[in-house]
Amino acid sequence: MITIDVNGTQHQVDIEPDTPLLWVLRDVIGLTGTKFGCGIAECGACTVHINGRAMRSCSVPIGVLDGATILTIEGLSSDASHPVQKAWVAEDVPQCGYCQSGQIMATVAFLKDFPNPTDADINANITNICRCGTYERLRRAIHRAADLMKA
Amino acid sequence: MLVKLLFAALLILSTIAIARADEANAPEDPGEYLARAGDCVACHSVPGGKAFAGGLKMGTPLGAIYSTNITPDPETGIGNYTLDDFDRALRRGIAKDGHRLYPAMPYPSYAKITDEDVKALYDFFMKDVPPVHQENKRNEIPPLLSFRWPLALWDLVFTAGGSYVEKPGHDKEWNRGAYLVQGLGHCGACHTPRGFAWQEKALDESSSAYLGGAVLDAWLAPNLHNDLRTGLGTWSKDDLVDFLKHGHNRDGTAFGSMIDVVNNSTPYLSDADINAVAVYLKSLPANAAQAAYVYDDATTQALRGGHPSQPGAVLYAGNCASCHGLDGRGFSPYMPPIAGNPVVLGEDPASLINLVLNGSTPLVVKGTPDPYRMPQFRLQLNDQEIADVLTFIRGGWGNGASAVSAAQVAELRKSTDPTSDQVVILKMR
Amino acid sequence: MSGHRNTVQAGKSNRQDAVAFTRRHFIIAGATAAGGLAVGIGMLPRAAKALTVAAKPWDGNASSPYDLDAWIAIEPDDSVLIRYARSEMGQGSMTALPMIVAEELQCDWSKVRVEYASPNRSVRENNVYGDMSSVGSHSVRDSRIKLQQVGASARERLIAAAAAQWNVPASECKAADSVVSHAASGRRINYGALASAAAQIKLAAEPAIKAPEHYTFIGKPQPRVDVPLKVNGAAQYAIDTRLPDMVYAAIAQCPVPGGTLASVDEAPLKNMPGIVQVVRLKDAVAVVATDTFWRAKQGLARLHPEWNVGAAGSTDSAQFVKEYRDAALSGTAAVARNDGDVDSALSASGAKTLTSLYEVPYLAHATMEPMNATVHWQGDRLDVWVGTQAADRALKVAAETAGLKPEQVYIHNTFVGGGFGRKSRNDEMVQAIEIAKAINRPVKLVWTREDDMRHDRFRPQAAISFKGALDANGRPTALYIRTAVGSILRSLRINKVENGIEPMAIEGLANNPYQIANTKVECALKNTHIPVAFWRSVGASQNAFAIESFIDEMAHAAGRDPYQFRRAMLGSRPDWIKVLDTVVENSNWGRSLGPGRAQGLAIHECYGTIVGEVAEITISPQGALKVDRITLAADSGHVVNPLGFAEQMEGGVIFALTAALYGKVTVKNGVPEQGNFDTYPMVRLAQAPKIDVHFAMTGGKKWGGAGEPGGAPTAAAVCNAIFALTGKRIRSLPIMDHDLSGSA
Repeated sequence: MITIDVNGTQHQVDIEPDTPLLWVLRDVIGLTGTKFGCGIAECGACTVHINGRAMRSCSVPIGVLDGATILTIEGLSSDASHPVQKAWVAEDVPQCGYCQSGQIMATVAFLKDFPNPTDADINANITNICRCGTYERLRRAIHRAADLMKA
Repeated sequence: MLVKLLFAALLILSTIAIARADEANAPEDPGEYLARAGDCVACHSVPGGKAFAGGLKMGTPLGAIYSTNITPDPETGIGNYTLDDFDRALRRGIAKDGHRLYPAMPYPSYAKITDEDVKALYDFFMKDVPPVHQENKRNEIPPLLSFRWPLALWDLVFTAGGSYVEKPGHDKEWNRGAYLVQGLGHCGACHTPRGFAWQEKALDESSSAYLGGAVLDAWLAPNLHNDLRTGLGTWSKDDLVDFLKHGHNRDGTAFGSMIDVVNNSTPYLSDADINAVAVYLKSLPANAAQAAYVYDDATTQALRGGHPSQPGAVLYAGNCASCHGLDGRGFSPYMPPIAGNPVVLGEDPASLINLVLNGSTPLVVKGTPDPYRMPQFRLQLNDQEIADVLTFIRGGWGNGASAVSAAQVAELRKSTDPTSDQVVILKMR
Repeated sequence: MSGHRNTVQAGKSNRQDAVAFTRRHFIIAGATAAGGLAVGIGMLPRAAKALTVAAKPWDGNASSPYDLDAWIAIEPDDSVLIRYARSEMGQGSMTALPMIVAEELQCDWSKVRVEYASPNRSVRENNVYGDMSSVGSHSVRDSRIKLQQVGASARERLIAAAAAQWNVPASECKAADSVVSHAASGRRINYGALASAAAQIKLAAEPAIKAPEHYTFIGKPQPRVDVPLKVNGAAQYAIDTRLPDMVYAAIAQCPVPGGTLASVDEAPLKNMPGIVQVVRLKDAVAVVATDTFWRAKQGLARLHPEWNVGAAGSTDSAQFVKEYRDAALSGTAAVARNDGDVDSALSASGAKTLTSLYEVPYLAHATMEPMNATVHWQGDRLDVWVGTQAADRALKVAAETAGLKPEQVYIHNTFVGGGFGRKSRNDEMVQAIEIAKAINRPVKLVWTREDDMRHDRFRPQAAISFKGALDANGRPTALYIRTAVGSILRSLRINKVENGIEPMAIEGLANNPYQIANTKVECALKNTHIPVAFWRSVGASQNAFAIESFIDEMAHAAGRDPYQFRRAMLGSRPDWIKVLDTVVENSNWGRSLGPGRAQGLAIHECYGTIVGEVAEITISPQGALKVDRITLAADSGHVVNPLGFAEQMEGGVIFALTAALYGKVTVKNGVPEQGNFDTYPMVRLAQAPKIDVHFAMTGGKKWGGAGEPGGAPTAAAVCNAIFALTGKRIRSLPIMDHDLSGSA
């Protein structure tokens, strides 16, 4: 039995320890905002925070997470009021939207380390794939979010 | 035309179904068990092919050769072999028609197999392996070099001859381990450096070269001695057992040619035999006096601080940290740590370069695929970037290993390019 | 070029004033020196109250007691439900199409709610929603008149209801902002109070719809209605469907397309917990598990099915490349266009001739949401949750698969995690229905990324050969083109290939607007066992690369500037010239960029829209290529939502850039080799150029598409820049396969 805290709620999970966190979140707990994209930590659609760090949940086995604190897109804010979410809305970033939970979670963690990011910082650290090609707006939204967080 | 294609999860051969189902660690058939221990199937099969029907391309310094059909098909396999014929091929490297086998067949190691085990293996291959009618492929060694008579001389010089004899001063378990490692397991084929004539430099623990680590097929088969940084010095016996049973443990995950060994061989050994192998390996002395690895948190702090100085640090954060962690500790036993990992600390970075370039093939332990695999970065990162990120991880967290150059990456990129005609062919498994 | 450019350009930082934005700041579109419209995309407004979309916009009732008709329901609280009969997969038609309705309906946009129209209702009500597909960038083009009529008709019925209530002539009443008013008496009444009366009114004649010059809402940028749902994980995609008692399926399909399942031994699953069943399909085997998709996938990985793959199992890419090349260079082909006498012009004395062969590989769609479907089969009713680009077609196929009548089938058209053409054929849905019938439980089937990539219906492989001739003055006198390419229609078993030609194959080649007196275009359709289908930009995805590269070759051979060379051949097409001039002006074409940098130009028309692009690139001494900026100009005639249109241009460029730089699916032993993003890489932020979108709209009767055209010229623009910088002509994609080191 593994205990994890997801968005402030304790969950006891009884499943094979090699099961990736992604499938525990989606299929067992029922939080489907975190998406399956590649299964090999390449695309970032499944990005969540584990103990405060952005991680790709498709590649983190539940067996090593006993006691961990998980934050998913559903737990970021109750009303889409997080500065990153506001910036995303203001820049009209999402198209199909499937990768955006991961993009947002990656950005939230990134801005903790890079409160004043340059384009080069963004390019090097936000490596999530967006197949619709929203990068132009995404980059702008990250800058805007950084500004909003300081305001 | 009806062609049947064996399909594994990723179209890459993961395990080869041996004739009989394998439910327990101790099959009724002792010969099958020994065939597992010898991992015969890894070389004598091709991905998608029938077990033991041969056809695997293997490079030698003289040119490529192909493994042969060792199913009991009388025309294309070894169906006409008597026990003596089989024995001569297995332990002395001489085929039934009298030609000498190239030492890609590890007969110098197999020479140590006992008479009893040879008989059991023979019975298994003759009675339990389904015959497959499949012609052997012609070797690609140039005609001038293909005379096999010098091999007789080679054999005279480089094979020790004789079955394994228990060493006094060691207990039964140690001796059993030595027998498996030196004989059927033929661990030295990869882990012992080879000499001028492609011979293994040593065939038992009496030499420090034995299992001292070697680069083969663009992989570094690590040093199996108890060196503290670059060997197995920090692994306990239980860690070793874990690794051989599951393909990974808290410190590492099998990769490269070792994947084949785990997929087809070591997890099928009995607990007693796996223990014995671990006991034997733990008895090998360290070759060098190395200071024990000490974790250094500075790298983690630099990564968390957001503006690390080395060029590879940013690449690490973007490409590697989501599995291996900003703290370099991975998620054992599934994703190996980078901090303090003997493979990362090793002198030769070949395995690291190869892994980043080409990723890893799936580990399948007794039919169950490992959930995680290392993706390849061949297309995403250029030579300099791979050199940077490897230099970063080799220097980070107190690892203290040497830098990697773009030229080293470029060389392996070329020799492991699957589309190149100069691609490295696996020599040994 | 122009002294004052009253534009806010994408990419140029306006962040410092971005916080205090206003609607006025959002789009400052003005005439540029070239006469085009430049759209600033620096900032965006949020309407104080945006209209709403439910996270599951398909879960409402197919009809409402407040229905005015199948399209519109107005509730007593004034909220307006507009039913949207296409598929939202990121292309923005869930915003653009209701905008068209709202233009005529004169309703308050913030009171609008959008839901998916029910394909089942369409079946039951005599195909009321018509074509429900989202393909070929046609949603606006093919729905606009219909939806304007829907809005206008509803408006007139509301007015008629008010007029009847007030006993005044309808002609004296006006509708605006969800209120009908009567100026003479000063009376006003909200739509919500009129809806039930309006629902009873039948108009004697349908009202006329507005001409574009009278639009007041269409053409004003609106934020996408689905965005708020896509920043908090609320938007529901098919893969997010959860049903009571639902189980999970993973599937292994014959690795060689077209093969069948020979046998599979279930023994390895004997002792595995949580496995429900193994289901054998004709060409696949599925494992069904109780609690997670992961368990099903792990179970499946233990199986080693055997397949009948036939002769296709020994084919490979080297062979395909040779076959397409041969077909492009020799043998028979159908003639798609033949002006003048190409052969004579090519052999005329004094003519300078050029010959080139362009080649492109198979490409995968790689939508971020892998193929998946959830099916609930109850014997006499079938419910399917699937990301589809054609819900009406999916319904028909589902009914056939299940052996039910169409009215017994409910397709719940969810948000689609990327389509790009792949999801116009829902292979996964057919499999899921077969599995559901076999196990008689609700089931969710998910393809892994590897399944998705290797069992795609790919962008066709092609080889396109060119011959060109220039006279002594460098003027083009002949252009001969032959394409050898996979037939999409044949692969999809659509029996519409006529005389050996299909429109997608020759798109942009046969109808190229360059005035060259002797022009001949030939088409050789040639398929392998690899299935092919529509892929964003379709034929233009390879044809624009080929023809715009070759035109560039001709320009250089003629010693002319590529812009001037093209412009001189476009006498009959002022719209092309306007696009060309706009992109050239805004990119400062021809200026010096310094060492290691260069520009390239390309222009193409497809799906009714002309797009011109200038690529600015940098190549390092080590040969690393970086596309720094794409300046883009587009003419779709009119545009409904300029913001959504610009987003589609940007997305199209990135999609095409991924293909140009990296895209390649190769085949070995009949099996597509690439399986995931490590072997089929994508452009990410680090490779994403700045993109400036400029409008060069020519109005008139033209209504062009948005989804497909944006990326059409991208590969050629980049490759032409590479040539300008290095003298290396890239004649096969991807660029990744070419060594650019030491050349810049």
